[in-house]
Amino acid sequence: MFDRVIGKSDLTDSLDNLAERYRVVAPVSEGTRYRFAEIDGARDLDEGYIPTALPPTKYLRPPRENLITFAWDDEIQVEPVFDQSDFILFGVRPCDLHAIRLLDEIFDREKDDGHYQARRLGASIIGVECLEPCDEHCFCHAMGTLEAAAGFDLLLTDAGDGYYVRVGTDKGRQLLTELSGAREAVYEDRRRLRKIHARRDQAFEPRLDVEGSQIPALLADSNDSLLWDVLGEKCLSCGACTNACPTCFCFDVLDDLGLDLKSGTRYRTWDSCQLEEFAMVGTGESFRQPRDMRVKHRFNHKGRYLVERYGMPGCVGCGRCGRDCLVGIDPIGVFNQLKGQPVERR
Amino acid sequence: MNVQTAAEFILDSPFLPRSAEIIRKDRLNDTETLYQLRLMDGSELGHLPGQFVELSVYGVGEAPFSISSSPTRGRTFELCIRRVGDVTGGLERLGLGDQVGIRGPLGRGFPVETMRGKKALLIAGGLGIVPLRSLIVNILDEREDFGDVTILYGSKSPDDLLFRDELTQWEAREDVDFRMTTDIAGPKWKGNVGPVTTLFRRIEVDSRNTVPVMVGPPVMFRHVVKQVLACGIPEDRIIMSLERRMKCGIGECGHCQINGVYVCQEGPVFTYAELKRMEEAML
Amino acid sequence: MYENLPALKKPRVAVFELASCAGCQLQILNLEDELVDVLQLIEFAYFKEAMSNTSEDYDLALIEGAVTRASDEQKLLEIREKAAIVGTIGSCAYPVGIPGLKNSGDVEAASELVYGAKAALFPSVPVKPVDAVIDVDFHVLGCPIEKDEFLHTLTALLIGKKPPIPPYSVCVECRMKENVCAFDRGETCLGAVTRAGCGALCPTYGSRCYGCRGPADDPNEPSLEALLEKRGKTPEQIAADYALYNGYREGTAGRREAPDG
Repeated sequence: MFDRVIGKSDLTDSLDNLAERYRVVAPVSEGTRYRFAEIDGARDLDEGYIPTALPPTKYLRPPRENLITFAWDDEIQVEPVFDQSDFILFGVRPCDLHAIRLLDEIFDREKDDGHYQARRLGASIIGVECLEPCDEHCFCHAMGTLEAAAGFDLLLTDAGDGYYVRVGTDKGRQLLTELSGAREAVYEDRRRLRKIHARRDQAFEPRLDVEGSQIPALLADSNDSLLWDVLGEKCLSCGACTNACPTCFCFDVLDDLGLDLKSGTRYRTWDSCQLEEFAMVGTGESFRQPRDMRVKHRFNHKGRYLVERYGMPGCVGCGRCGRDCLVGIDPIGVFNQLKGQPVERR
Repeated sequence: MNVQTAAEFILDSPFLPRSAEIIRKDRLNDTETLYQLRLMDGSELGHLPGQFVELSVYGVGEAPFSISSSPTRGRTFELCIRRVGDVTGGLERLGLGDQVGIRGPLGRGFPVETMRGKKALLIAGGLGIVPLRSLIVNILDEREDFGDVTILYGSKSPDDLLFRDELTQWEAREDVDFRMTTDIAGPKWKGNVGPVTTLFRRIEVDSRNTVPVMVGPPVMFRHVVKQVLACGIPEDRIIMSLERRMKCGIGECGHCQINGVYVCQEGPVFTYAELKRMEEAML
Repeated sequence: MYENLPALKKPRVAVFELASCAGCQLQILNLEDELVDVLQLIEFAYFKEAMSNTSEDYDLALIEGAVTRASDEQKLLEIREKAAIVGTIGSCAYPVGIPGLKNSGDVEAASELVYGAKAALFPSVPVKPVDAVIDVDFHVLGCPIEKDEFLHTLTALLIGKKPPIPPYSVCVECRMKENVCAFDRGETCLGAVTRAGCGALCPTYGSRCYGCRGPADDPNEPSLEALLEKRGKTPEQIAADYALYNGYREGTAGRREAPDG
């Protein structure tokens, strides 16, 4: 067995140690909200954090990511760009770990995208379990994402005076050597972990009137719901939801040309299906212009298409989109309303 | 940390283009130019009719273009390009010998193999002739492999007709039933006037053994599909190619997505049976 | 390689000023690290803020400032005649910026307020953005313009690309920066309907968006206005908020165009 138990002050010391030698990224507090940022030591970290403004996946697919460089003189020279630097991503919640699993499935296993793989290989991911709901917007419990099954190298569970440490990968097993003062977990520790989990499962009250597994069917059945019109009227098309979403991965590809007009960089930058231009083609037609169609597409992409394609949740219930939406479009409300309403045909 | 570091892995970029040289540029009319390209490494593009490439004019950007030439025609390939935006504008200013970036061939092409031994009904509307030409030339180059070949081509006006030399050749062939129509007649136009559906009255379709392939604007699809279905051809044998904004070409970026489907991966060639369930296919 | 890719080769550039604070011209001069490179690409024919030599021979005109006098319109028509390409720099030229505040009241009263008894010597007209008088090929937005955006516009023009002007709203960039939303701080903000490109500069530094870059392509104004009212703003306050930079609402920044292809 590789499971460990580490005292809280030992973990603090270990983090300080790691931060001295590696780039460590962890949630920090910024007034009313939290963000993942580089830390110098454990003191910078805020343990009571709820889902951060942007998800930690921003380190695996940054808002702007260089893909290739190009230059010409007599010939064209083109080189790929990979960010292969190592870093530790500490404090990732189970919802976000599920999102990372999905991104791995798409960008690593399916697409073999070296740019994603470079960052993913560089990341050592230390997850931290949630033992109580973060606020009124989260619904991970319903989506089956409260329990972290994979996506982490190490997973920590707060056990009062210390943390129970589980190992997810070989990389995590090697990381254990960095946890000074950790001891091997024994039967009593595992029993305690079971109790913590049982208490946790009680703490998360159901917030959705529909089973997570029934959401694809609910959405398929709601294509003609009038709710989309209502949401379309409210939606500001500000992209707050898609920026905040840990499983959103759409992007645009652009060229940045230097002032020499002979060299530059091609990069990808986050894009959003909520923006009008997103589905326009070369001739100017848009295949998803009306705002209600855009809102409907987002919910279907998360709640249905990704599930159908990859067999894992496309929405991980982190609540970020609902938390950030200025006009109150919250997936809890949307799913419950779709469930509660008889489907109104337009 | 005793861990393998990321830098030790060899990685591939799906965004790294191959270089290709412009070896010929033919102005087809006011807006369209046919570019003949050759990969710098001397290899064949290795495409199927109906597939597309992402073409880079470095510094300007990258955009998708359907391949207009047939794989039966050797080591060069052709793209027929209408000037509509930045990449096409930049391409127009490039000269012979200038290099562009090519990614691909990408996407699912026309089902050439399953069409062998069957009758082909090939229908193009407007710029739809650009990708369809690849299939037409392929079929004509391997004519003995296919049954009766009927080609219907509709354009806005006689001036908009593309590949005119080839149209004349197709018209002259005994083993092809080729028909054209234009929405508006010009002063010299002696052919059919009206949408491409008006040509249906003049042809016979063998519902048991014909594969209809259509490429054109959504409005053409809507009308032609009706006609083809009325001939008794089953939905899963009707082949169509969609135009969407295929930015990355590898099913990541999301721009070409219709409902749950990435057009750049699962398409751009689909059967009507696949498309009719999807609201965003706009059929 | 790519000998003929550039659409413009060392164009002669003229910078003109209408009613404005000259701050956008200053932003060009503030390109201290890049100015040498820029001067390899263009030649200034007329740039009063920077040099005394002037020439009437130019290809590309950059116009700063709003139209506030009848004579401005004449000047613009002349510029349009001479220059192959005309662009605006800054909010005064588009959407109309601070000079547009004059439109919120009586023009004559405004003249009197400024010039007192001598008001008659300074004939004034309601304020217009430049594109209400002449066709404009591109806008470099902002109060003042962003240096990087100016450079990107310049390289785009030279290479024959549509200058970069985001169709979406400031919120998109603001959220990407993980700023605390002005609404979450109990303030209000016009970022949701204002065109991006500034990198959400004002909200990033603790302020909020005042709309200096004009409306985005697809603003949902009714929804934002409902939100502003819910947060206690009166219709008058909302109108005044828009009027600070958007006192003229006929034009749009950049027509909606098809994406690249």
